[in-house]
Amino acid sequence: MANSIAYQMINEFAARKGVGAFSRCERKQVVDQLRVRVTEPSQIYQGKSSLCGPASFLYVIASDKPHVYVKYIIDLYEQGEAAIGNLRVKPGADCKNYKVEYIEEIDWIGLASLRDSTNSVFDYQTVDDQFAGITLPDHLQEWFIQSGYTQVYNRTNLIFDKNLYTLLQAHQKRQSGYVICLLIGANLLSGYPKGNVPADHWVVLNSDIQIDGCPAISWLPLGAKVDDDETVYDKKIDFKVYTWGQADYPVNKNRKDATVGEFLDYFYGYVSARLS
Amino acid sequence: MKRLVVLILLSFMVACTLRSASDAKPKLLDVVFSKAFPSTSFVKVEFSRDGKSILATPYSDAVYVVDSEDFSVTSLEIEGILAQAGFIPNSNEIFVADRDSFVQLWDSNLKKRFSYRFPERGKRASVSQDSKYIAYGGYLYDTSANKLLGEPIAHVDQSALQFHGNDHVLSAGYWEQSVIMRNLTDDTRTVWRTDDRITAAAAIDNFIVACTHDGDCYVWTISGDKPVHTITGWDSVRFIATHPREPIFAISREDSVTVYSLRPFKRLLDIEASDLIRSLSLSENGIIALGEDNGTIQMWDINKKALIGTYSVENEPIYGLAIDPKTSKLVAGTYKGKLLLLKANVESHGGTP
Repeated sequence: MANSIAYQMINEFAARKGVGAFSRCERKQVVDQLRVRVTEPSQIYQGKSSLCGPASFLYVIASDKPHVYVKYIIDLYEQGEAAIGNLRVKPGADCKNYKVEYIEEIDWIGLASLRDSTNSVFDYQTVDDQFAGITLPDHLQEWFIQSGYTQVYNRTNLIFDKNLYTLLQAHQKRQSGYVICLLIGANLLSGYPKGNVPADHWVVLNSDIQIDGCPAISWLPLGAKVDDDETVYDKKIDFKVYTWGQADYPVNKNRKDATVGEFLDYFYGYVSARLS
Repeated sequence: MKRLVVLILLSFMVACTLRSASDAKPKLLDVVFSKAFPSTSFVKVEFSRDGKSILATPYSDAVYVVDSEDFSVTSLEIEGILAQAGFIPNSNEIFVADRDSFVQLWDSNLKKRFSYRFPERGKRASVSQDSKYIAYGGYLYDTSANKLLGEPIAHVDQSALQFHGNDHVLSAGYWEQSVIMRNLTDDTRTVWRTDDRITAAAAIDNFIVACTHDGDCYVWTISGDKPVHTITGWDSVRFIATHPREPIFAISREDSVTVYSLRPFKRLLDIEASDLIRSLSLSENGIIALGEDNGTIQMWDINKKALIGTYSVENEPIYGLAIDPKTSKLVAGTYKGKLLLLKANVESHGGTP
C-alpha cells in the first residue's frame, strides 16, 4: 500500500515540469533514482561523502515508510524544504546550488539537506566537508524522535569502544522490532587496522548477530557478566549491516576470521528506535 | 634594496607575460553536428575503433549510436539505470551493462548477440578484447566457458575496473583503499594499498597508478610493492585519462589537469580550467580535451603544449568527451542531453609527445 502511494507520487512528480530548488539536479534523474530506492531502499548511498549517518536514517525511513521518504525528496526538490513528522529540513543555498559529484543527485538532496539543516555551526556544502558531515549520536537520536519513532535510545560512546553486553542488547532489541543503528569504525569493514579515527561510521544492523555460527542471544543469560567471560572474545563473529548502498554487507567481508574481541575494538554503541 | 626592486619588476614582467598568453583569444572549435536529446543526461561518449560511430551513453533508458558521417541515430533500449556502456576494445561491437546486473553485447550491426545476468548489482563493467571476459562489479565471467571465475573481488564502490592486456583485470576500491590486479589465467591477485580512499586508478604499460581523495597519486610497477613515484596535491583527483598505447596519463583535480609521462617519469603539461572539470579524454595522437561544469571545452596538443581550440555550451556541464585520433574530431555529451561533434579549424596538430 505504502509502495503504491509512493509510486503514484513519483509518477505525478515525473509529469510535472520545471527546475526545482536543486537547480543542478535534473528532474528525470531524481525520478529514476526515486524509483530505484522505493524498490530497494539500500540503494540510498552516500557515495564518496561522509553522510553515512543521514544514509542510515533515510534507509530506515524508506524501508519503513516509503511514501514518507518519497514526499520528503519531492518536497525538497520542488520547494527546497521538507518534513518527516516534526523533523523539518531546510538546507541552505550553498547546499542547494552544489555541483553534485561523487554522489547521486537524489542522495545529495536527501542526505546533505538533512545534514546541512542539522548543522548549527558548520554548513554541509560539498562532499569534501568531512567534519560537517559527521553525524553525532545525539543528532541521529533526535532525527528519530522528531520523525515519530518512539523508545529512542542512545547507547554510544564516541571515545571508548563499547562492550559485548551492549552489542547483545542491540541484537535483542532488533529481535523485538527495534531499528538499530550501530556506530563503528569503518576500517573494520575495509579490513584495515583501527587507526586513529575510531568512531566514524553508522550502519544499520540487518541480521541476527552470530557468534561461532550461533545466534548471539544464547549469551544473554549471562547478562553484564558476559563481558567477564574470556572465552567468548576469541570466537568468530558474523552479521550483516546496511552500508555503502548494500543491504547485506557482512561485517567480516574483508576480515573473514574477525573475532568478537576484534569487532568490539571497532564498536562504539548504537542508537535504537521503534516505529510507533 | 636594489635587488628587491629588480626581483619585483621581474615578477611583474613574468606575470604580465603569463596573463597575455592566457588572455590571447583561443580559436573556436567548429560545430560539425549538434543534436538535443530531451530528458536525457549524457554521462559518457566514445568513438568506435574505425571512427565511424559514436556511442553516446545517457544516465538511463537507452544508449545511442550515432553515425559520424550522416548523423543518423540508432537507440539501443535498456531498462532502468545504466551502469556502463562502451565499445569492446579493438572492435566496433558494444557492451551495455545496467545497474540491475544485466550485461548485453551488441554486434557491429547493432543486433543483440549475448546477454548475461550477474548474481549481484554492479556500477561498473568492462569487456576484454575479443569479448572473452566480462567484468561486472567484483565478478568476472568467462563467455567461452559460460561460467563465473573464482571469488568476486570485494570492492563495494569501484573507482576503476579495467582489463589490462589479455590476461589481467584491475579493480580499485574506494572504501577499501586498495587496487587489485587479478590474473585471468590462474586467478592470482596482487594488491596495492593506499593511505586514503581511491578516487581513480589505472593500469598503464607496466605501471599501476592510483590517486586518492586527499590528492596524492601513487605509481607502482606491476611487479613492485613500493611506489616508484608519488605525486602530491591538495585537491582530490577526479579522473585519470590514459594514452591508449604510450605510458602517458593525465589526472584532473577540481579545476586543473596535469599530463605525465612514465618513461621517463616527467610532467608534460599543466592546464587550468575555468570551472569544475567533469570529463577528460586523452587521444593516441597526443591531444587532450577537458569538459567543464560551465560548458567550456578545451582541446590541447600535448606535444606542442598548445591550446588547439575551445568551445562553450552555455550552462551545459560537459560530462562526456572523446577524440577520434584519425580526424581529431571531438564529441561532447552534456548533462542536459546535448550531443556535439566538434572539429578544430587548423590544418595539422598532434603527435605523440
